[in-house]
Amino acid sequence: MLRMEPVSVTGMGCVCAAGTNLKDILRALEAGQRAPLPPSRFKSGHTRTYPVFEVPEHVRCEQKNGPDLSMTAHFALHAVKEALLQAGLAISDLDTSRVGVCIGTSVGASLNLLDFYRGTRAGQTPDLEPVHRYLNSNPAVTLAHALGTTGPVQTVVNACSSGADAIGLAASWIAQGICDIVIAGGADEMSEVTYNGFIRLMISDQSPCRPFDKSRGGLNLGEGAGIVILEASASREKRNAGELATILGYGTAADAHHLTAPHPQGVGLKLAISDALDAAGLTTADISFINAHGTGTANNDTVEATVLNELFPQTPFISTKGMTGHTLGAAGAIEAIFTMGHLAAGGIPASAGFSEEDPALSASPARRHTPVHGKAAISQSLAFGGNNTVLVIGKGRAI
Amino acid sequence: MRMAVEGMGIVSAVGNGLQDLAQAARHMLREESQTIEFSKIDTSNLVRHASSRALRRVDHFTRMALLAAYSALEDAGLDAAELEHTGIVLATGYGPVKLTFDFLDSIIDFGPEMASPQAFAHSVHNIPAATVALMMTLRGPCFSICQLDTAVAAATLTAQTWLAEKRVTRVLLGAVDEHTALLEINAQRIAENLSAEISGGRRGLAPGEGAVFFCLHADPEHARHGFIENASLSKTYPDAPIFFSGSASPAQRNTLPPMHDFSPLYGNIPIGMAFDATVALLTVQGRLGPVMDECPAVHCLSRNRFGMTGSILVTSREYA
Repeated sequence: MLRMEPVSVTGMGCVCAAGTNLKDILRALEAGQRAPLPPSRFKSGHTRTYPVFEVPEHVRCEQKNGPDLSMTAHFALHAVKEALLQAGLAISDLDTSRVGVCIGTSVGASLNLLDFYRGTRAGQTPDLEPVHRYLNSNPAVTLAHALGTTGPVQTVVNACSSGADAIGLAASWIAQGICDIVIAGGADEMSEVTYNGFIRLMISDQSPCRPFDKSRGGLNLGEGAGIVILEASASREKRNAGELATILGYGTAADAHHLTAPHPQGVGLKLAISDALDAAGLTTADISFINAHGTGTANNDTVEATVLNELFPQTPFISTKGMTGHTLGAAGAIEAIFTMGHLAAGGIPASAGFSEEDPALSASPARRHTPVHGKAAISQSLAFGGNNTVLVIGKGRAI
Repeated sequence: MRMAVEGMGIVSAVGNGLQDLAQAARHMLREESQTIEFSKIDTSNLVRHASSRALRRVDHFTRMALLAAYSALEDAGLDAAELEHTGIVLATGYGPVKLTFDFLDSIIDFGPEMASPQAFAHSVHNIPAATVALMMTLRGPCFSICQLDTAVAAATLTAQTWLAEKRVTRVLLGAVDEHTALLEINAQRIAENLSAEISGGRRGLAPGEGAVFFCLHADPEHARHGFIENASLSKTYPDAPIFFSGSASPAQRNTLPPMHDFSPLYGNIPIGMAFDATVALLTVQGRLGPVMDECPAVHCLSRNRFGMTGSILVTSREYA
């Protein structure tokens, strides 16, 4: 693995249940107030209630007025606007052939057209509108089309590590000189199909989720998007643009162990951490804090705690899913952005939902706001299929 | 960066061997009639590579992927134990659709509280690639790319990126899509309203299915079949006079001659470019002779509904 040149982040945009822009979301994470509710866009069909973290109603209404695209695509477009504005970028000023788009998703690329499917199965000829919406809404393709870019376009579907993988791959495109700018991140919407799927897998919690807590009972689903603008140094310097953070390293590895459960010793996760640190030219001692995947499921939190205790015994860590829910394909991107924000602010908030240590776990997340010192942090994502992805994130340099 | 093609594996409606594909391509070029049933893919040969027990819960989409991947390794003269520092990239247009619909069936038939967790878990789009990793015990990077018509070009760029940064020394680059009755019905309904400008030459074809895997290496010495690279259409390749595409626009067909359309061999399938690339690799090796002359380089194009065109370049060992 070659050492990676740091890649500048010049813009960030975010939307999730905790807020509709990054500034508000980071403030909400510090406040720690959360209120997951039963899903509002579909009837659950379950006798028990499983709360979810939905994007605020007013944002969803705003999106409905846009072109006929999926909610996932709308969330991505919402976050892109914020990121481009922060970066001071108008696409019209750029050589669009040198601008790439790399977006992770899960629901956003699935043919979860339940009502349409039900109608077809019943022998009806339902309107093709949902099919056209699907065909028009592939997240990366839709963004590239909307922005008029003609560089590389890629929709990564690595389940819950998709967003982090999209940022990692995009950083490689910049580092290798393939692109001057890449719009990268993840987006996913709440879906009746995934809602039922996770309940049937018996990993959804009926209460607000409690990552790493002794009483944790599973995850709550969430939705949203996180987008970063990655930019080559030459482009950034030419524009005199600020550097908000850097991508210092990226590692991804498979467990090759089980399709829906992580390796109990975290074999793939440790490989991903090792590759990411090598690419960054850093050691574990250089990492000031870790944004854990922290879903609140028994398996995930046990494996992460084991690995964190082994490799980073003194390093504080958090899970932010207690504030956002598990946003699936968007999670890795949203949490990478939180990591950038917390690194810049010099502190991490309390891990929402965590109150009592689990004696079966070998590590516990931050219980209160914790100052962090240092120039680098890690955001890690674990996924179905045994995917493990780690981004090493650095502080930006003021111009 | 040129990626050396060590091995190729195909699972297709015209057969599961490179010779089958070459023969069908020659028939097509000679305009000889042949009956191809796009939805009748046979993966029974997979038991040569994996036990029935290991395969008992593996769906058709993933079986096609596994068979193509094992065939590519076999073609390269490798076995899974030799695959250190190997990554997997899998391109698809729709993902494992049959399992997606199985889960919807279970919700409709039995209600949300009795829906099938197995169908849901396995319908997640990265499970097929993860199954390849698991069966071959590959712990390198494992990516799935899902987008209509440009997934193969995108996946090729990912493989190239990983090899260039020495993240891996070898990549199993695959592409898979499967046929379902619902896709066929809706493809027909949509095709009725599509212009040729949008749909290219595949508009009248039934949706197909199949899988292709390439075993790619960073070292040019491993180029048993030739090379693949991600290419920009804006560049000129004077030695690459032939273009293969099932989805080129009429304008591209007129301005990029000669253009060959092999989609009648594989059907209307989002990952058609992977089949084109396989035929192209056979062409640059002179394996479609005497019907098609050996050619040092072939462009493969795939165009999506927004007019974006993915492009890869296939070259012979001798092409510099």
